[in-house]
Parts: sequence; structure tokens; C-alpha cells
Amino acid sequence: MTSENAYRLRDGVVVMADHHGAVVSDDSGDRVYTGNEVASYILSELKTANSLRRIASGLAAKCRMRAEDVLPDVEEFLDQLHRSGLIVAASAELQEGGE
Amino acid sequence: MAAAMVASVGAPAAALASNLCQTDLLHAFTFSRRCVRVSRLYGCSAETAHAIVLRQVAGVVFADALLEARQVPSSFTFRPASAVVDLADALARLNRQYLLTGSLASSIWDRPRLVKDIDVIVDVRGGLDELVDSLSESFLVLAGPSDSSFAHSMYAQAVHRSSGFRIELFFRVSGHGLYSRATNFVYGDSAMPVRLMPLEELLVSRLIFLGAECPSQAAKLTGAMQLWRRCGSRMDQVRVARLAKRFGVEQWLGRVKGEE
Repeated sequence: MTSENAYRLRDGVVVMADHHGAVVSDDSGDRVYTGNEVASYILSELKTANSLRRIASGLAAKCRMRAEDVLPDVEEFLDQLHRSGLIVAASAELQEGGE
Repeated sequence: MAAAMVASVGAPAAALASNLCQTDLLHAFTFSRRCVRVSRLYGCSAETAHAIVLRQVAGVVFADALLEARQVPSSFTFRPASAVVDLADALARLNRQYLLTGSLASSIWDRPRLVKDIDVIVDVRGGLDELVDSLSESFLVLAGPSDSSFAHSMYAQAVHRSSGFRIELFFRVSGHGLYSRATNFVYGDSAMPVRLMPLEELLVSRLIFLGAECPSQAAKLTGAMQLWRRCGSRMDQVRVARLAKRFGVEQWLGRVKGEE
């Protein structure tokens, strides 16, 4: 996972989010994560392909912090979602679609 | 069946659950399948598993979010977590010592953080039965005191009944004055102060995680370095060094401080 690669939610992944928090799950319900409004923001940014760095920049702007300060949280959450198969690299998805 | 269960979790949850049914959220999360998994995992009845999953799914939607530790834009306001306040209230009634730690404590000491659950260290002296009884008013404790594994693992989870937020309870007896060093923190509009893990212990607890080669280690190392960079000047340096030595994480401390 690099900061420049774009990721997006995998098709079929369910996200329920508001400004208090969020729930994200795969379509089978085997993988479910909950979180606060930081998680909610990250998930909203993953509805379309977005890079780790851009998400961190947006979150940092909301929190009035530096992007590098929020980067570890964004990276950790995206890594968890990626390992769980809830998000996919947008480029990989394009390759799959082209085969 | 579902209606009876909904009634038992209180009016807000009932209203929300009703809404969830209308939006087919329960179907989306394959509710029954999760109930079976929870029932097997915790050895609880189907009815209890149903309540747990309902709260896990429903709670986050109307949860009180987290904290008001610092001034942040109104569009991104952190609010006190009712789960934390109820937990603090239950533990205070028992005169039981505890420490909030993990990402929640980091959020308060340092900056807004991603918080997926709430980590609490609780003094186990005084027994577990009384503790679980007291917590059960506001929480669904996901293991019973009669379960021997509960006591041996020194760990349990609790789901806040009204918010659905998950709390991870770590039971520890401290002979090193850990609890006495806790810092009181008052949430914005709450009269109940909560007890925070001191900065020094918070940093070293992160180093211990690093030493255990946890998942997403690189991110945790960066997080620890940032905690040191922003809050190091507020820490008791001698205590940090002593704690790092006691827990065998001096090398990690050196890396975090940029000495290696």
C-alpha cells in the first residue's frame, strides 16, 4: 500500500455513516468494522477512488492539522480495510476489468 | 421475537432498529449469520447474541461519538462518549480504579484520532462478579464471571447498551502505582471526570505493542514518534526511560526518539 495509489470500496461493501460514526461490512457480514467520525470521513472518501495522501490531506484540513500527522491513522485504517478485502486498489480493479 | 428484543434495548434503539429494518440494513449485514457467529464465539444464547449484534450494528449510528478534548471546527466536533461516562460512573460507584488508554487517550492527550473501540485497564482487585454486575446496568459484558476463561484471560469486551460502542476491558493488578498516576479529565458537559493513562505510560504501551510486532507496525511506529514529537516535552523523561527499561522496549524508545 503506497500513499499515491488510489483505493475504493469494493463492490458489494456496505457503509452506513453519519457525522457521529460509521459501520462498514462486506456483503456476507463476515467483516464488520465500526468507528468514530474519523472513520466516517475516511469511508466517505473511499466511495470513489482516492489515494491515501489525498484522504489524509482532507482529514487534516477538517482537523486543522498537518497531513503527516493524520497519515498514520488513515494508513492503518486503509491497511486494515485492504487486508479484509473491503477496499481494492483502483488500478488493480481496472486491470481485472480489462482481462 | 424481533419486536420483543427491540423493546428490551430501550426506546432509542427500538426507534433506530425499526428504521434499520425499513432500510434493509439488517439484511445487508446478514444479521442472522452474525448472530450465530456471536453465539458460538461467546457461548451465549441466541437471544443474547441477537441483542449484541443489534447494538453493534445500530449503536454506531446514534453513538455520542467521542470527545471534546480540544477545540476543533464545529463541522467536525468530537463529543463526549456516553459509553465512557457510563463506564466511569459504574467504576466510580464500586470505587474501582481504572485507566482509559489506547486511541481514545491519545485523542485527549494529543489530537483527534481514529477510534474504533475504547480500551480501558481496570483494577481486578475486589473480584469480577461485583464488577460485571455493576457494568451490566449499562453494558452487555461479553463473558460471564462464571466462565473460567474470563478470569484467566484477564480480558473482556462490553457493548454499551445505549450507544452500541465496544469497550475492551483489560484487567490488571498494578503494584507499580499505575492507577494512582491517572489524570482526571472532564468531558465538556459531563460532571463525571474520567481517569486517563498518563502520557509516559501511554507512550511506553505503544512501544510494547511495537515490540510485539503487531499488525500495521509501521503506522504504529509513526504514531509513537509523533506522540513523542508533540508531547515529549510534557513527559517525565526519567519515568519514560525507567518504564521502557522495565518492559524491555528501550530499543524502540531509541527509535522513536530518533537516537537510532
